[in-house]
Amino acid sequence: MHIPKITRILMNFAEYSDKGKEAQMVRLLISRDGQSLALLYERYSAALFGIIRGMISDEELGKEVLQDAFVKIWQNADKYDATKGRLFTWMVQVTRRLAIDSIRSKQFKTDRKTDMLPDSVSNASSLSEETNLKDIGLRRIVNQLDEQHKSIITLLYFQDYTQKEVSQELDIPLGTVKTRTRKAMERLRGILRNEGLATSFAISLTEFIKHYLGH
Amino acid sequence: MDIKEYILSGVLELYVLGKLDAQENAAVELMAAQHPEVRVEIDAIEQALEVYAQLHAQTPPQGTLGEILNRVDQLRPANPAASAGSTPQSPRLFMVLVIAAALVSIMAALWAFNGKRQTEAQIAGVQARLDSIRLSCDAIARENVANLAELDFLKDIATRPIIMRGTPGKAPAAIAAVYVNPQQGKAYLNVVNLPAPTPGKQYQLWVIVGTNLPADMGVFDLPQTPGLLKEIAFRSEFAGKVTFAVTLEDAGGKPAPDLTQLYLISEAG
Repeated sequence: MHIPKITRILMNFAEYSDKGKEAQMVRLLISRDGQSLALLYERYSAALFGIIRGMISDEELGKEVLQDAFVKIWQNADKYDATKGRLFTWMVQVTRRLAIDSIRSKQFKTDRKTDMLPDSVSNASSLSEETNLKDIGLRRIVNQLDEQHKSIITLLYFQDYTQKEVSQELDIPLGTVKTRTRKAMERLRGILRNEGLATSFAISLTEFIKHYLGH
Repeated sequence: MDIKEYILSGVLELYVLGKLDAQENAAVELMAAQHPEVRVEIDAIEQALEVYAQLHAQTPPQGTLGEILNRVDQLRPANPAASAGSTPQSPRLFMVLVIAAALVSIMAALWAFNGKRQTEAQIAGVQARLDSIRLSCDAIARENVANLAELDFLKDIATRPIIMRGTPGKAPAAIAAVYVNPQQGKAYLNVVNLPAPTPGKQYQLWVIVGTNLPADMGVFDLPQTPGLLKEIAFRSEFAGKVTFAVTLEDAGGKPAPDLTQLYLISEAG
């Protein structure tokens, strides 16, 4: 049975969004459990690689950063503080810092702005989405976002622009970046909530079918 | 500050996106610690971005995980600080191991000590048995030497037996013999069957040469082992014709025999 990607992601997310499971994963990581790293990779590598590729167009270099990131996450798992936020947020921070270091050391920073900087903001978002947009679910979600909302999330989240860089790029006052980010995230959360309702229905339907078929 | 307003300001989004400086981050964390609704809002933003990131996921090139695992494996022994920090329970584990090792050592020592004591007891037992066997062996060897000497004496063709038979009135079934060997100058008494003497009495051996009066050959007790030879004094007359007799006399014997108490006598000759 074909399950749309968005459904799979949300199903997967529903499974892992549980803080208890996340804490368990962190404990395994800290204990240097051999399988925990593979598990972590299976769950997060593609999402982190998507974020890296938003900053670094070179796949080989992106791969190096991803490797560095997982090694560092594995080494510093005990420094992750669950009271301050989710595991994935921390992993993104670690990954992003390494990507920036890599860009700086290779003097990619200036290249990035010309390399990755799209002619129009709408193109910017499509850069990292061009392959994934084939997925109907993702396209449906992204299409529900206004251009200005989509672009600000893309610039801040995937391309690691600073507030100042965003204000320059989008030609909006610095103070507006904050409020527009809020509006964009509210919209995104609303869309995901709606999708989530559909997803939870899909999950229970899938589970029912699985159960019925004896899988 | 009004919490709702604070939440709506967008600062929490920028916090999650990592766009705040250290001071601003600390301020948000303080607010989150003080107001649960701020914490909840941050978590919701994080979840939304996590799903969004998963939507934009790109599968890394093949073999990336393998390379990561290799690098981590190489780091493992070369990073004692990291591993030390990762195992806060290791000192306790170490103590448990030390105590366990000590217990095992004590048990092994007790076992060894007990085993040693048992072994020593066994050795002592074996030694005692060996000693007793050696003693009985010595005794048997001495007996054997005596038996061989007797056998040699009896086999000697110069040895002549003089048989005494029981008198009909006293001991008709009794039988005894004196073996004499004039060449060796030795004589042995062999009492085969005599009734035990009454208390205060002893058997006395006599020798009669020719027509002389019986001569005293001394008193004797019945041998503890029947058939055991008892050496008696040899006289040169034994080479000729002699008669031996045994009477039951008062203990210690008498110079002349009481012939009413004659128990054994050999045929003259």
